[in-house]
Amino acid sequence: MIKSYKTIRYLNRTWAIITSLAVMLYLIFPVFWLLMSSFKMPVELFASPPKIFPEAFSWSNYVKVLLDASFLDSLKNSFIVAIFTTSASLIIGTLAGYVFARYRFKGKKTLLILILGTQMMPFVIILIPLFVIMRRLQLIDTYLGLIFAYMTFSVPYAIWMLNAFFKTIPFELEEAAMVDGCTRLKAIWKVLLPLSRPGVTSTGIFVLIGAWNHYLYATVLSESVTRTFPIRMQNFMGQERVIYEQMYPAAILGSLPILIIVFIFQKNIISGLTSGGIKS
Amino acid sequence: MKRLKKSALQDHTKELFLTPTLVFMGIFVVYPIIYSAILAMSQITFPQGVLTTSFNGLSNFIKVIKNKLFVQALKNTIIFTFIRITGTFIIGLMVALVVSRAKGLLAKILKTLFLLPWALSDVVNGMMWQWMYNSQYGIINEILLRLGIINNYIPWLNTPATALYAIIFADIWKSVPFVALMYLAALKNVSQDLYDASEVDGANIIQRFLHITIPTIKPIIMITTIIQTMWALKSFDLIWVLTEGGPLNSTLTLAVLAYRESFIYMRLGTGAAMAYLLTFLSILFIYIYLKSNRKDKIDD
Repeated sequence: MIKSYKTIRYLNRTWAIITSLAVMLYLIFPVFWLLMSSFKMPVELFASPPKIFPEAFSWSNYVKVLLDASFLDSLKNSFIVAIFTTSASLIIGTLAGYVFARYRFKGKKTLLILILGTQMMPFVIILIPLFVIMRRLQLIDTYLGLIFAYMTFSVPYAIWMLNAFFKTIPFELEEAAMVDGCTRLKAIWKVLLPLSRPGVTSTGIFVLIGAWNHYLYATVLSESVTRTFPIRMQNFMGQERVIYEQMYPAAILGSLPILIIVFIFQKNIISGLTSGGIKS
Repeated sequence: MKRLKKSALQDHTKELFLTPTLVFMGIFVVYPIIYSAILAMSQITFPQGVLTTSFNGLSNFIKVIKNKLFVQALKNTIIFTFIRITGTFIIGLMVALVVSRAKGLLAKILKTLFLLPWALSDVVNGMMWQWMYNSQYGIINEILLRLGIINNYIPWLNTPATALYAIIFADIWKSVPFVALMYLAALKNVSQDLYDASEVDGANIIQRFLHITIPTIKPIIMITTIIQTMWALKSFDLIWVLTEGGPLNSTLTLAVLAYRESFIYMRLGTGAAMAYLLTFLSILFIYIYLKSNRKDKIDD
């Protein structure tokens, strides 16, 4: 009996190790491969069969990309759009999320479901009219146009998440602040937001990453002036002669800000999604 | 007196706080949704470059449904969705189990690394997979050749028979982190006592998994599957970057078809009709899920 119990434990452990390795390899290898490719010179990129590690890690490709003004511009554009989309979504989302978390009123649940329900629709449904509206408002190829477009999915997300987080914070604390003479806005700012900081942070990170990476709306709404990082990457691929040795370093460089954020806020991302998202 | 004043203030704040949301959603979400519905039911012309609509009932929808490409896209969409849901469920759960058991530094590294596919832009992902699938220099061909699974290099993305599955494989990779995150959270609710007890009783890992883990996380499996279905059905970026629906429409899904119809061929009426049909499909799927799981409905 004891022996078989030990065998089971042993088998379990072996099983766990093998699957762990296989699964992690599947998730990590593509990124690893991109990273290795980014250091290769054309001769090595177009070697058949491919070699895993480059002969020499060549940084010259990275330098070339960093001197490419149109690439740097695209990072700047993505940065501006992502920052403003995130701030605006958090502000609007906080106000609405607060109302949904703190008030009872008729049709509240329906309204919440409708707000989320809009996210079920394929992007094209919003995108066709958005294109028409933006053209009429002369917002095509402007930061504001892109920010509004991205907010169509980040605002509902922020409302939904923040509502869930706010609900977990007892109202009594804000009430006490208001009795002490705080206005409602001040109570939110001084009491509620600090208490729900993990939730606000994770919501912000999700929106920020989403906006930095977003592709579809930008294909229609962003042209030469506001070309974002994903669109710049697409341009790399669409060229007649693709400069692979610069495309891969560019992909790595453009992803770096996001990777750093994920690394720093890893805990927030995991706990944020789990504590707020699932309860709602 | 004070109480009265407070409640009056509350009512006022409520409307004030909701205004930005309602205005924004009204202009940039609700109006577009209605506008698209009108487009879907209109014949659209551009006299002197001005978009003009004239109501034509359901004829766009009928035209779309009769279109052979639509049928092809519908088939591809369902295959895509079904395999992606199954794949992300299995792999996502495996990742969650692995990460939840890891301890110390390893846990920290794993928790950062397994988020990578989710954090990268789909364009970067697409570029990466295109390179790995490359018919002459691709690492996937080389690995499979070495393992003896294939005899010569295959142009995965340029072969109609393999392109859709190659894309799904890449798409599952990208979708696993989110699913794994959900299950990771759910696994925290699995009772360790129950686990230990069953282990002493000699239950093997599969038995424990089926009788303890799965029942506990069932509500989350349900939510995750619904979200994944919604996303899989409207999934666009990776397909567009990798194949744009080709070769020979073998990777054409409804989302790609609707985009192509609207923004490449500028046929906004039928494009909007396609997008609405995709929405109905999404609603249908969710309805079926909810109906089949009535008993364990999750409350608020």
